[in-house]
Amino acid sequence: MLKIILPTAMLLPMALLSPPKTMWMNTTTYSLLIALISLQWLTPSYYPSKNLTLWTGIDQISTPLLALSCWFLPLMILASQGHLQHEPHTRKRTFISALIIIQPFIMLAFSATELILFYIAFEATLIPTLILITRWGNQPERLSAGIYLLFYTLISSLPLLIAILFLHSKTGTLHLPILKLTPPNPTTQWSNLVSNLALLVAFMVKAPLYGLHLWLPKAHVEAPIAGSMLLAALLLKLGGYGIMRITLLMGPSSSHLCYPFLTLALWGALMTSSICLRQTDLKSLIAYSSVSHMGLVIAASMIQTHWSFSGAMILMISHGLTSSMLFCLANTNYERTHSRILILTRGLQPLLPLMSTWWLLANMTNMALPPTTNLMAELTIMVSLFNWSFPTIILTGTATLLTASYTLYMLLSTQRGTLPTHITSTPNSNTREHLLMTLHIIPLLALILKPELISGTPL
Amino acid sequence: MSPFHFSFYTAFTLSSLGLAFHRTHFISALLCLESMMLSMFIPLSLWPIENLTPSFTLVPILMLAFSACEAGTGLAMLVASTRTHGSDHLHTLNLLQC
Amino acid sequence: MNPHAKLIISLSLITGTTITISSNHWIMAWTGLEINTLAIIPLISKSHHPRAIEASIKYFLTQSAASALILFSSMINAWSTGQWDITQLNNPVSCLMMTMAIAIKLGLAPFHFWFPEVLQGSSLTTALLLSTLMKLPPTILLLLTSQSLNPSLLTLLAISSAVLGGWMGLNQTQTRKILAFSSISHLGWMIVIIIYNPKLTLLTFIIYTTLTSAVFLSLNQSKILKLSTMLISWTKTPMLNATLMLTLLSLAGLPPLTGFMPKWLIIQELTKQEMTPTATIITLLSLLGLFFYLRLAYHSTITLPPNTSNHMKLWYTNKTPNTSTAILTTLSTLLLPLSPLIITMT
Repeated sequence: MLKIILPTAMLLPMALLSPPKTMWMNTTTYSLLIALISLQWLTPSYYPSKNLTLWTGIDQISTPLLALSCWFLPLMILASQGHLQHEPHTRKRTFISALIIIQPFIMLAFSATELILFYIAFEATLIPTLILITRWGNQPERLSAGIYLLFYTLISSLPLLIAILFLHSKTGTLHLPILKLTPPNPTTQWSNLVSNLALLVAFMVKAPLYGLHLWLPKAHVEAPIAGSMLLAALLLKLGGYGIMRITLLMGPSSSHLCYPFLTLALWGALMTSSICLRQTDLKSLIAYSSVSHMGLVIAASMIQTHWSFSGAMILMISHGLTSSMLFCLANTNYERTHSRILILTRGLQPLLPLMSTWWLLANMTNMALPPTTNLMAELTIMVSLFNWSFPTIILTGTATLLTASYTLYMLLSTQRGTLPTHITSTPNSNTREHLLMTLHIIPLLALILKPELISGTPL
Repeated sequence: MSPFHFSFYTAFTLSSLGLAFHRTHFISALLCLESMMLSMFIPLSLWPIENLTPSFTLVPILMLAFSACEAGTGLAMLVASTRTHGSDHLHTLNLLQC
Repeated sequence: MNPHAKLIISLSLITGTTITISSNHWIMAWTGLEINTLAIIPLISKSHHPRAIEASIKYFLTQSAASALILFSSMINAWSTGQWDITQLNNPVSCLMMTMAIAIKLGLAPFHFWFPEVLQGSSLTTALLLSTLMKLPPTILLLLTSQSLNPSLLTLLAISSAVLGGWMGLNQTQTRKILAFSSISHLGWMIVIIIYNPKLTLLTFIIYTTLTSAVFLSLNQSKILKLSTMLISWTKTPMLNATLMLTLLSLAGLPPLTGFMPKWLIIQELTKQEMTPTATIITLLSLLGLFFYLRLAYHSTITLPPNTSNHMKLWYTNKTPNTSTAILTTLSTLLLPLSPLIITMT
């Protein structure tokens, strides 16, 4: 564990001290190297947790997410080069260091076995994200987006802290493996319900559940590209990961607690897909599509079966890669046209032909076409939900249909049609952007060859 | 409650009520503070007699000394407020209100 | 100010505090409080400005009335129990009056009206003294008498301070007033735990002192008295402003920073004492405070305006930040990993 976390922490002095000319190169190569080393975590093991230390342990659920978070640091650094190129040099440094500071906290959150350590790492990602969004965003609305992010997260997660400490005073330990072995505490029904609710809601907001999701589109729209990638790929997964960890602890009492969450999640998948259909803002559309996909993840992790857990795991990983790639593509358009409005940026295929290949691939994965892990995940989730209750097929089926339609709408409106008259000349797409898209799409396509790497429990 | 206790309780209570409710002039507030202190001088000086603790006889003097210092500071501030605000009305002190 | 006068004043501040926190006799505790009050008043009113005079008059009236109340209630206790020991405050009436008097001295919620105004009238360094050093002796008195105090009354005082400190700070644009309200809400956190774990109160006080000293000293560096001054201060000291943002968020109690430690420990102690609803209320109330800290943080470094033409030109002095600010800022952001050590030390 330290083998990865210490080098990640040492990236910070590297970013601060390396000479201006080689700063981007140094940080990108170094973080790619870390991502390469982190792949060794993916080796399967029959023990419940690999690399168990006193405070951290990596099991099948956290492994793919850890590898994903290591993978995303170089991609975020790569993606931010474009919009930072006119900034003074020290600001580039501070931007990269803000990106790097988040990384150890995310990794700690994914690997902590102690609930308080998990909570601290979970919350510690908040301040760098806030700085990323409110300092480096573009519009003045970024300030209210930062306030939304901070307050939605904190209002839900302070009860989580109290519930964790309440659990500690009842059971005497917060170590996850031991906590699983302790019998459910004989408190009253009411306090049990409240504490379970408090444990869940923080992650529901982070995931986000429909109804608690209002901060996400705002944050996505205002954030710079690295912030959007971070939010879509890693921070939302923190919510899903938390739900999967906590529901295992709560035991049978959560069986009737799951109904409202399941209803909201499935209904939300439907609603946010329909919202996507009438969206005018490209980044907001991608953000709402994240909400709809994460609704499926929440639903799957609430019913707590083996199949649904592996479906949720696969969907989290593949959605992280897909939505991050979509945000990168939206950003390449934004850097050229300085607009996120769909009507103003339509018909870009003649101008950026190779980029439209990436658009096609990203949209295909987003609507879960066959050779991708997205399809596998959605099928697994739908099957396990169908097994849990028949009528859910109506909701999930409609949501899939709507997903396909809004993805096609996004693809067609950005790539096809006539070019708007105000776009006269755009800079060509450069190698860095193509490399970025390639690095997104390669894992997506390669993972279908061996999906048990990311499926949590072996399928 | 002995008459002596009653007298000093009422003296203190009346003067603190005066401080709380009669707030036109700074000088009247200072007088009320001083009478609070002086009302406490009585029980403090009776304590060594009643409990036969001669070592305590210094305490009322100590208290008087500090209350005199306090009164001196109060008068200094009375002068300062007259110089800066032109009067000793407490309702002129409204520059800092939230 | 005359250096001799400054020496005498600072010496008597230290003497007064030491006398109060080390005394065992109510008279000596009262003496220390009086020395403190008399020593700080020249510091507040050293600039002969109407605001400074007003602040010192308000401070003087409240503090001397409160210390008279302290002496009175200890005397009631002495006449009914026959001793002057601080820890043996057994008479219920005097207990109640003592709580009220110390609440006035500290500026706890229903008695807090003097505190922001006095801070507003004094300079930043004096305001720092008023919100840290001058609060130590009353807090220590409350600690020493904590066995005999009324738990529900103290919880009520604490929650109302957290409410009012958070609520009224939302409406301010002056940094000193904002910090005064932040001090009030932090006092709420200290008071809520004082009966159950007095050492935790002391720890909270120490950490609060570190954090707020870092904030006050950083503000003093570029003489930031208003939010609008803060908005353009990044041109003077950009690095200090960046760390000031972290210190402010630490004061708000966000997790990876030092300010989270007292909140964590207090919530843990409250849940142990079966006071989970109180813990929930006071934790959610700290979000009110977070809003104005966040606004300060936004003004300090996050929103960089493209130009400064709307403001009066400030005199640019190339003053290097001093070492104590650096040390305090470091302590106030990075101390959380050391919390097991700190808990065992207290």
